[in-house]
Amino acid sequence: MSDVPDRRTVLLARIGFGLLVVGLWWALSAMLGSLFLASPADVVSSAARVLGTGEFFDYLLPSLKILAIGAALGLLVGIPVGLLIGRSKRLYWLTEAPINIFYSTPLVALIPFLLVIIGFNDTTKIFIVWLFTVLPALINTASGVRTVDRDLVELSHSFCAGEWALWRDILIPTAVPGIITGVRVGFIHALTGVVLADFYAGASGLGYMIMRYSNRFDVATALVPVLFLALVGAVSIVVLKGVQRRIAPWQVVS
Amino acid sequence: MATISAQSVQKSFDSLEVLSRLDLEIQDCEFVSILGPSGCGKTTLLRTVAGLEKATSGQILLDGQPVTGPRPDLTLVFQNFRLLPWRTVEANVGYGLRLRGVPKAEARERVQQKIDMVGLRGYEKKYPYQLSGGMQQRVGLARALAIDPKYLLMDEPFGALDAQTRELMQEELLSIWADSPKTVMFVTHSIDEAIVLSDRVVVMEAKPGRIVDDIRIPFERPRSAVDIRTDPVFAELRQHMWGLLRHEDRPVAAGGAPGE
Ligand SMILES: Nc1ncnc2c1ncn2[C@@H]1O[C@H](COP(=O)(O)OP(=O)(O)O)[C@@H](O)[C@H]1O
Ligand SMILES: [Mg+2]
Repeated sequence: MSDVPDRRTVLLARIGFGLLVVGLWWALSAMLGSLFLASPADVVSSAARVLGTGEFFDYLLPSLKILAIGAALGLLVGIPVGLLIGRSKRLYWLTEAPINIFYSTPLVALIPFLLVIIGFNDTTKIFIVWLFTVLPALINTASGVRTVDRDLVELSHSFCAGEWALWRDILIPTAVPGIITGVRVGFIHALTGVVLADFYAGASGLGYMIMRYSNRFDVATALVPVLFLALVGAVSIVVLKGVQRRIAPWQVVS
Repeated sequence: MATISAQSVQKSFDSLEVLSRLDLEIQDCEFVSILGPSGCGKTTLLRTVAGLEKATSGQILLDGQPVTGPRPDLTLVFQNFRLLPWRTVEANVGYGLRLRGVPKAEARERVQQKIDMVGLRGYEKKYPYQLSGGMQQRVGLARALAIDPKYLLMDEPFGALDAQTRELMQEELLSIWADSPKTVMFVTHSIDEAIVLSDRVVVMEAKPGRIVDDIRIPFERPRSAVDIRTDPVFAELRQHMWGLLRHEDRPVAAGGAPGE
């Protein structure tokens, strides 16, 4: 692991990169003018305003609800189904093509149809988030299980372990890194799903906030939820890497 | 009774004949070593006895019963260790006990005892990736011994050990076997090791795998490896086996180190 720089170097590099981005943003906004790109200072004061009045939370809470339900249901279905598909060769060959076709279809394209079928309501939004989460969770979990060492499966067999013990001792631990990747990618997709659902189904949520303030040419306020979502995504990645390091110390991703 | 009986066992992989009509009788609590060059089918023979491989023709009987698959009173120590990377040494050694539902307190005690025996005290909480190959191999051995099987099959279990640890482990195995005798098939590359440990040494040749000699080892038990090595009979046996293996195309190490 000697090619991995130490923590201090990494931290300094990240801070440096952050400052660079903010600097560029600043320069660009100065060049384009606040109508097209708000400066960092404008965004900060807008953030303070919408947080202070509590307006931000009126947009945040509906989105959080939809995100939580949609993503949880997506993981709840995607992970177990992924485990089963990864375990069974036959199931895998049967489902591989349809899943890949579905996965490579831009899901955004389905949203207008869903709205027509299900209606302009929260159920549709939850379903959209579910759709965005379930496939990455399923695909990553399945490929995690498929990396199982045949020798260990045979070992378990040689000790007369049953199917349940095989899952507990061999398959699930093998799948842990894949499951965590699935949760990570699934959650990031879920964030996209929430915003898109708000864009199309409108009337509430962070996506609606972005639309609303953009339409009023208040770019600074429109950027507040954007930055918030970016932050949530970044934090989720860091947290899940920490989780992986804790529960799967034999296989640390760098 | 824990007897092993191989009756004209023939095993082919596609067109490759790996075992050719092999007959072998092993008595209850007998310690039999299988000696032979790489590729002569030692692992295949062990896997067939363990029920992991099906004989193409012929059959294996354990205590008179045909082998149809793995059984709880038999353990195979794999040549490539096969530890669970996500479990500590402790948990790996306790793997079989947990599967058999041995109560936690008793399991813990037996695990600790086996860990001590293979010289890994202090490494209980380590993960396999933190151990050397030789240490991992000893974990695999401890895991097999922990469930105290009636049949113990070992596939070059000391192959990854340095010469000194290897001799220590041979002494350990002798004393384990003296304390709780079991029917043992022990695959090795090492002539010395086979003589020191066994009641009988079965010598195999390759292409196709077959038994070319079956030699009784006359030393009294309990044994001490050190005493045996200085016995003139030891030198004679060694000479004889060396002669048998010499005209194989791959030489076999006479000393402690495997030929791999
Ligand atoms: N699953 C398998 N498929 C095809 N050939 C195999 C398989 N297992 C073993 N063999 C072949 O059988 C022969 C004997 O192998 P093995 O039993 O591992 O020998 P040994 O343990 O004595 O070195 C070798 O030529 C090996 O390539
Ligand atoms: Mg072998």
